[in-house]
Amino acid sequence: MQLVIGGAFSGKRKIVKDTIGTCSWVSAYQEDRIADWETRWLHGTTLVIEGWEKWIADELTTSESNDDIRSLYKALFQTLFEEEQRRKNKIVLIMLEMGKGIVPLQKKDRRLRDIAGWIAQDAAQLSDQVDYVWNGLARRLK
Amino acid sequence: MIIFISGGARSGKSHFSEQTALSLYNQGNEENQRGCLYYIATAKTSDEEMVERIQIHQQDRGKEWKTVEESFDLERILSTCKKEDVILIDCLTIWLSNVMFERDYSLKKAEMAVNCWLSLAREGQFHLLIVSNDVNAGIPFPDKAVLTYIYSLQRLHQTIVEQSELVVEVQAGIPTYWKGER
Repeated sequence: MQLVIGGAFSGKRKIVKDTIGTCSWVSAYQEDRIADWETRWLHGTTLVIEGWEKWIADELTTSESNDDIRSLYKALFQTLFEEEQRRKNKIVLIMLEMGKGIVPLQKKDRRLRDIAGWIAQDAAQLSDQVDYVWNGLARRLK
Repeated sequence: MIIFISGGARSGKSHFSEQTALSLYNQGNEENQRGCLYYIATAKTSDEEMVERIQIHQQDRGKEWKTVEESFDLERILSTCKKEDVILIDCLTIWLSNVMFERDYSLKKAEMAVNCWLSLAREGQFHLLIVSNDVNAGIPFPDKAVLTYIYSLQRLHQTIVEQSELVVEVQAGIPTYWKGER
């Protein structure tokens, strides 16, 4: 599993497209749901999942517990990890760095930022490769 | 040489950029290729806080520098630059907000202007250092205008990075070289 993380519009998607062969995309920006990954992942391709902050924002409206949301995604990463081993095809998670601005005024934004940070840490832990993207360039962190 | 330098607010990127520009200028002098050292300030002295910030930056710079204040039309200045001149643009973020919000520039027009600066630097064989600010790693902004601004700035960064020989991120005054190394 590979995690590609970076700020908004930093060129994350381009790096993935340039470095990885045929991909199956699951994107919250295309209104996909995270649960779509199983049906979307075509045989012999790399699964790319992006738009986590949108799915997390949706979870915030249904769950009061940050821990529950974090656990939900942690379990998902574990499932993805095992499925990756089984299929012998790669998974790439693209995540948005959003923890480097000022503390947001709205509580829901603070929650989103916190949970997104934790989820990125959990994803990084399970990933054997982590890349940080900055202005169209990538640096391997792990 | 084209150099791109970025980082957070008060990360030391201006100081680092000035030192880099100064050393290129001194290097040229040693080789008897006398150029000029220009500081292009894109900020307007429109409010008190900006005046203070500008004073701090001016005090930090030495007498070698020629300061040019220009908020919009940098092409005009760059087209007069000569071989071995060293030009520091500080900074891209303010220039972009000037042209986007006061001159109604589209992203395409801004990109054309930036590409023009880069071509002028290559053709004129002068050193061009562009300083910018990383503003894209906070919570995604719901305000459409701000989001468009961040998107545009990022596009310009990537255009410049592609054409730069040296790309540096400054954090707490410490440079990280993303491209090239000195």
